[in-house]
Formats: sequence, structure tokens, C-alpha cells
Amino acid sequence: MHITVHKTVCLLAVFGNVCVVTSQNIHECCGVLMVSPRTRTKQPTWLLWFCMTQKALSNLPHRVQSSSTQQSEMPWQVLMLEALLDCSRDGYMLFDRTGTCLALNTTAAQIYHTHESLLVGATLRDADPRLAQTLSPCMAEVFETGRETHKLELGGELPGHPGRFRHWLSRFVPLSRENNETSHVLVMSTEVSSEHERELERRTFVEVAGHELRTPVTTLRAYLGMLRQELKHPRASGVAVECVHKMDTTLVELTTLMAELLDSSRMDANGRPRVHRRRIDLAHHVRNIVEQTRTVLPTRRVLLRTPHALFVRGDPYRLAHVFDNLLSNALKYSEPDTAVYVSVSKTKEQAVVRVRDSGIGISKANVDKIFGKFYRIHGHERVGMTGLGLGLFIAKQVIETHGGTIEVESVPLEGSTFTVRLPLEKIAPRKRGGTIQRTVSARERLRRKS
Amino acid sequence: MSTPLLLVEDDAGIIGAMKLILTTEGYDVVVVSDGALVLDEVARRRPALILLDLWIPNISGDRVCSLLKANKKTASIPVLIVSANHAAPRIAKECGADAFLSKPFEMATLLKKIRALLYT
Repeated sequence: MHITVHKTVCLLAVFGNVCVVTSQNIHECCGVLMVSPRTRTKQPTWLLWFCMTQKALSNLPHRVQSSSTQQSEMPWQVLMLEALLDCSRDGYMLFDRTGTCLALNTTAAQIYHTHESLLVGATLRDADPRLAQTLSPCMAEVFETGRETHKLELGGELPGHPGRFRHWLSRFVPLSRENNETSHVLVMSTEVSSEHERELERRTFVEVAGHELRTPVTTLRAYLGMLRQELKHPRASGVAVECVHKMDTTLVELTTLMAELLDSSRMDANGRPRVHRRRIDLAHHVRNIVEQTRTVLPTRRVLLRTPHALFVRGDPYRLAHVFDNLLSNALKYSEPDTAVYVSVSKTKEQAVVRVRDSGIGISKANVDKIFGKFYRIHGHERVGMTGLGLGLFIAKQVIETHGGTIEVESVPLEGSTFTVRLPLEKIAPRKRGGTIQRTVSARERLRRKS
Repeated sequence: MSTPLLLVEDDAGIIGAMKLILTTEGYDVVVVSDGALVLDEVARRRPALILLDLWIPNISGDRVCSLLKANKKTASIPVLIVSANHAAPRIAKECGADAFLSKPFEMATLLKKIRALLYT
């Protein structure tokens, strides 16, 4: 049997209940296969869609021919379908509602380290409990919701290709019968190794760039610190003091810009910041930030009210950036002779940090937008202000990743109050199992005696 | 006699600035720019405190810190990680450092941290 591939036609061939379709541009999207098998035997009907590479198409006649010679008793449509699926670099597995595997191609068998003869016709739980543990949660979700999901990322080596760690992203596609109920789930696994490599390269670049940018700024800040000390002398020139103050302020702005830029690059695939949480004393961290700000800007008044200690589970680095950003904004957008108030308090379940200023405030139209990406205040409100418009966007992402909220109340020309709420650390009650055991035993002994 | 400090850093700019700050404050500063030389230098001079960068040639700062803390003779010497790495707080904790300071830092903060480690 020979199949001719015409590059310019859309409909490649129609054979009985098998239909092969190609796109116009065979180099980019080489083919789409649509199959509705077993309709004559009134079995469930489903559609399979997939794209093949040009190489796969060129291999097709040979593979079909050899398969049909060896297994002449099988319908050629089935052989062709199997050949097409096996040529694909994506993995395909089809399951019904009972979790029985109806079909899988060679790539899927390799990705999941299983075998066709082991899996097809058997329920996943019985055939491969390890694989069932991996796939079942996503499959159950698709059967329940009827919506496609692509949550599963896998990593590993392919048999026969040791030493190369590869990554796949699996999509779980619901297939429906006529009554719209999801009858089958198609698991399609696409290799995303190159995307992973690119992401790794990007992260490495961000790390190196961040390091390289901070190093000269550290030097500059250290020398400025020395200069500031020298200028504390009563005979120091007023102009020199003013110059150092301006340089200090500019350097703080530059540091903030760098932090914003680097933080925005350190998001995960879902656009969420990566956080490393541990038990931290929020009151202590906020105190530190305020103290640092007072050192850099000794002329500004920052009034602080915190409890002795208040524990949350959080990433100290990320949270420090958030509060530093809120405090910098409060100082930036208010007059130098006004005070900024920072307070840390707690409710029954939350730690609350408030940063209040008596600055220019935010107009009602802008309040909803300030947490957006690249948002910058426009018009007279931002005269002389620098920034990428990422600080509050990152702050919101960081706080939400911690399970908290951030909100703002503002009155134009009167000031703004930013409120951050974070869940308090839940302290598990101390286990006193031994005591309970002894008490029960004592009661038991008394009962027996009586 | 001034307090001996070991500064492990490979950037000439930062070495110059930190050395100026620390010597002005009365500390005796010795600089090492190679991770492989730190252990020998610590054994020879027995510094009161080590200021350690994470990205240094040959042996990384966190590895150096782990080795220092694993050795009974050097475990008690306080190590202050001074790094531009955003994950420095976590790395410092994992390698057993006594404290960390993120670059860029304020001079006052650096001196405060050093005093806290030396006199507590």
C-alpha cells in the first residue's frame, strides 16, 4: 500500500472512516489526523487531533507498508493510525472513565517508563500503581469538570538515551460523547526540554546580571557612607553635605530600580514570585527596614509602632522588599517635613502592617490600577518621580503568594495608607501523648479494680 | 591591639571600600580573594570574624563556610556572609553562617552586624 503526500492540498486522503488532513504549509504544520473509529460497531466515538513532523510524514508509507506485511490480518486503517501515532514525538494515551487504558503510542510508553502490553486493556491502578499515582489526580479533575488541564510536568531520562535529563508537559483533554458527558481523557505529553533550558539560561543570566549590578553599587554606597561620616564634622561645607545627601537619595533610587527589575525577572512559569518560606519575626524585620531608612535618610521622620515579636511564615528577603518599597513610596510621595507612620499589629488570625503618609495621595481613578504591571502615576502627581512601575505589582504578587492581601486607602492631597495582611504562623498545640496514655491506663486500672 | 578580621572578597572595588571602612574603625583587615586559600589563612591568623562573599573563585563561599563550621578548631569563629546573591539569607542559614548582609549595604549596618557578632 502506498500513500502519496501532496504538499499543496488540504485534504490528503479519505479512506473509509479515517481522514487525513494537512495544512497548506506542510513545513510548519505537517498534518492533522482526525479519526472516528468503531462507529459501525456502535462503540464510543472520539476525535483525535494531532500534529506530525515532516519527517514523520516522510516515514509514513514505509512504516505502513512494513506493518501491513507483518500483520496482514489487521485493518490497514488501524495500522496506519498506529504508525502515525508512533511517529509522533508527542506521547498519547487514551483512558476511559474506569481508568482503563485504551491506547498509547511508543513515545508515551517511553516517557512514562511503561509498556503497551502492560497497560492497554488494564486499569491504570492495576497495571502500574506508580503511574496511577502520577496521572490519576489530573484525570479525575478532567472527568469531574469536563475542562482541559495541563498541570503535569514530568522530568527524567528516556530509555536508550541516558545522561540527558528531559522535561515534558502533559495536557489532559476531555473527549465527549453525544450527551456531552466526558467519556474519555486523552493525555498528550509534549517535550518542553528546550523551554526548560532557555528558562534555566534566563535565570542564570538574571542571577549574574543582578550580582554584577549590585557589586559596583555596593562600592559606591560604602564610599558614600564614609563621606557622610566625614561630613558630620561641624566645619563641613553645607554644599558638600547637600551633594552627598542628593547622591545618597539617587543611589537609593537606583537600588530600588535594580531590585524591581530583578524581582520581576524572578517569577515562575505562572508569573508568581518564587518564595522560600520560613518562620520569621515580622516585627523585627519591619524594625530593621525602618532603622535602615532612618540611617539613609536621617532628615526624614519615620514613626514606628510594633509589638515585641510577631511570627509569620514568610520569605524574609521578599517581604523585606515589599515593606521597603511601601516605605520608600511613602517617603517619595510626601513632603520632606511630614512624617510617615509604620505600624505592625495583629488580629485573631492575621499580622497587619500599615504604612501611612500625608503625601499627594492617589486619585480614585488610579487606586484600582496601582497594583498593575508597569503602572506609573501620570500627570502632576508624578513630577520628578522615577520608577519602572513594578514595585507595587511585585509587592501584590509576593503578598498573595504568602496567602495575604494588600490594599490601599487614599485621599488626593491628604495621603495614603497601604495595609498588608499576612496569615499568622499557626502554632501546633504541644503533644502530650504520654500523659494522655497514662491517664487512660489509670482509669482502666481503676475500672478493672472496681 | 586591633581586632583581626578576614575579608574574603574578589572584587577590587568592594575590597578597597570595605578595607577603608574597617581600618578606619580600628580593625586589622586581611584580604583573601580565593576560596581555596581561606582555610590556610584562618589556620595561620585565627581571625576574630570572617566576612565572606559567596561568589569567590575555586571554592564557593558557602562551601568554605560549611568546611569552617565542620572543623572543631574553626567552628567558633563567627562568619558573616556578605553577598549580592538574592538567595543569600537561605544559603547562609544552610551553610551554618552566623549572619548575612545583602549587598548593597549601608556602612552603619555592616559595622552594627560586626559588633553584634564580636561582642555577643
